[in-house]
Amino acid sequence: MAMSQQTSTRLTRGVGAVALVVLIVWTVAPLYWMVVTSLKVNSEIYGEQVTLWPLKPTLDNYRVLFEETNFLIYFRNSVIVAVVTTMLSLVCAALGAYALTRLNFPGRRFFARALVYTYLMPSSLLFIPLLIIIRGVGLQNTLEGLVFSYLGFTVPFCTWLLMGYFMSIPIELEESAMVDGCGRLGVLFRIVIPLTVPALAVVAFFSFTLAWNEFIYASVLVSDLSVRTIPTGIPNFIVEDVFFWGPMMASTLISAVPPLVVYFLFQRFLITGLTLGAVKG
Amino acid sequence: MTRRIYSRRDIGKFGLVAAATGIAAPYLNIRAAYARDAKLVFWLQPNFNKVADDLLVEQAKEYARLKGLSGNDLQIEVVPGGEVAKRMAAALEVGAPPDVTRANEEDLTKWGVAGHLLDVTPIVNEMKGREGGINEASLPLAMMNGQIFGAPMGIAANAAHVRADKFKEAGYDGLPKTWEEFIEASKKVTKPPFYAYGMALGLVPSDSLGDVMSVVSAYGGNLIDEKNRPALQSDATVTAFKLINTMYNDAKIIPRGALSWDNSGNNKAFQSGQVAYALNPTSIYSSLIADKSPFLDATILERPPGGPAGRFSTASTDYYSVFKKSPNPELAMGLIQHFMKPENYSRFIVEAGGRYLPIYPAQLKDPFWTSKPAFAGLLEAARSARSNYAPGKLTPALSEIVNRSMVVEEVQNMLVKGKDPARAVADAHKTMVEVYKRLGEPT
Repeated sequence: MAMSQQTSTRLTRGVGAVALVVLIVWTVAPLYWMVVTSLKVNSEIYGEQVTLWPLKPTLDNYRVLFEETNFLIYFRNSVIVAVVTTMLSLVCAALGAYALTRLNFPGRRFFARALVYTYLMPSSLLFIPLLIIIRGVGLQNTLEGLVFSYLGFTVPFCTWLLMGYFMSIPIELEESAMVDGCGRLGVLFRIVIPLTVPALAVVAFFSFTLAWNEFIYASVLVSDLSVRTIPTGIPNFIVEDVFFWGPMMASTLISAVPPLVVYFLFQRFLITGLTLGAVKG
Repeated sequence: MTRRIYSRRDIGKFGLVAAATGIAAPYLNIRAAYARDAKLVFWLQPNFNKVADDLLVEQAKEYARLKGLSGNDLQIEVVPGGEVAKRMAAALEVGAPPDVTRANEEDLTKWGVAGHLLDVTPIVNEMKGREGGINEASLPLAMMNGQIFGAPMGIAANAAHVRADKFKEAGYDGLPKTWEEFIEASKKVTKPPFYAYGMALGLVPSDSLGDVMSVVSAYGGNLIDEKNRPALQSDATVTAFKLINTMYNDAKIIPRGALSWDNSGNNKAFQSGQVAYALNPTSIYSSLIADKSPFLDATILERPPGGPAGRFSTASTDYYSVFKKSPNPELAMGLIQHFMKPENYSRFIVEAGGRYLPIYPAQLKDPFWTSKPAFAGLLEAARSARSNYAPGKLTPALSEIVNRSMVVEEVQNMLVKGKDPARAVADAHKTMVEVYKRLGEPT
């Protein structure tokens, strides 16, 4: 018996709805579990019964986090490193991408391709050579050292990303500006960048989250508690084979807030930026 | 007078400047603080509890004061255990390891053989000369070419953590004495999702090998012989492997997920009341105390079940080592001597809450060791404990085998892929021999 159009549509929507619910649960469940665990006492976390909601909600894990650990210092360091890395990445990537798309110089294609290859190098291979360099220039155990290291992987990728956006801007716009007396930098800052704000938002978000979450370099390049960042502070809640789940979940939850804030602030630009290339040839 | 009207853009600019200033101010202070060159660097690997770790920090600072060092001359870096391998690889590569750190048996062997450590025989001799001496069973592992590369700082004995209430419900007075009896009892104790045996079987070093070797040694099997040659291939090991296979596949007294556990897997299972038996250092028991667990009173510490060869627990020793690159080796040695002074060490051992048995046997007379009934079982387990590597000692080849979980991998092949136990033992032995040959060690 042939299925009517209406039934078919309903079925499709039903399957879609079920798939969406599964995806939402899949996405939200870990976050929910983090929140709930951070509000449980340890005996409940390790209790015989799994509880979906804390039986005796407590903020003690947050008290431990703020009063008995260096979490606030880690948080401040993460903010400094992520913000500075993002700003420097934006400046360097914008200048680099503009040069590679608009200027003619020998080796331009090579540099453009090398950017991608640089980005593809795994950090687990690079951390020892990088430590040698950072130590050699006296930046070990400093936040500048971390920022410079992160620029090593944010700038190539951001430059490569921006190149695509810059290429989509009609060159005639820039030529008109130059005819009117604008220099190269003037064209970049007055014409190109205002037209690519969504792309810059994507690049900024990418740099921020990478610098915020990075672990390997941070764990090797800095060691003192006063210059550690959040990702290297969280493992302190694992002592050999004992996990302090409550404070760990609390710190993980709080550390997820800044990227979320950045995302919501730039959400409009991000969505435009991410779909910008989809409708341009 | 004209009144300036601030636009949103202006306010945004002010906000940015204020944020940048706020961020930069403390940053400048931090930067200044790191323009220093410490004379003594101690990597503190958090281990026990905050009080014990704080005590080590306090003792290190006290030592620095006694030596007339300023605050910046002593640098204490907290390095979580999971980060030590990576951090140390990088530090050794750039020639800047710490002056002093704790080393487990595997690390001690690796760093000692690679020539990174200083001979600490004078410190050990001083410790031996103290009243009651030291537990000298811990020394052979630290000796290489007549030198001692680590001053023993604590014996981590594994104890069988047993839910006595569960075995009682099944009609047993306590933990059965042999593995065969244990299996029979465990069949009655196991009521999924509750299982009798939280056997660590994941591919991570430490707990998994300890669990496997506690069965193998009961039947007389060994990883290596007294001349440090591979010795896994034996009827005893095959019998033990068959027994493990029975426990997992036939009796089904081990949780199925145990194959993917890391070192915390058996802790979590026992602490959350999912298993009745777990072989582990006392971190489980300490957590039960700290969490005021409802299972605490029902938990006893014991020796694991035994077999024809005996009833053994396993134990390992941790050491303090000094690196050759240390610019002030006397200062570094002095720090270890300070930690190991009986009065300082005794406080540390007590604060560590049973995590370590003292390296000075005389300190077992401390009232702390009779303060909890379960400690009697721990001491009994410690007395019967033997190293996973007995009767030989850890060498670079064995260290690689342990760190790559090569033996446990064959156990997994037997449990999951259905490999015959005798074949699994033979293959594990063959793999060991290959590593030994590659590294030029006797087979």
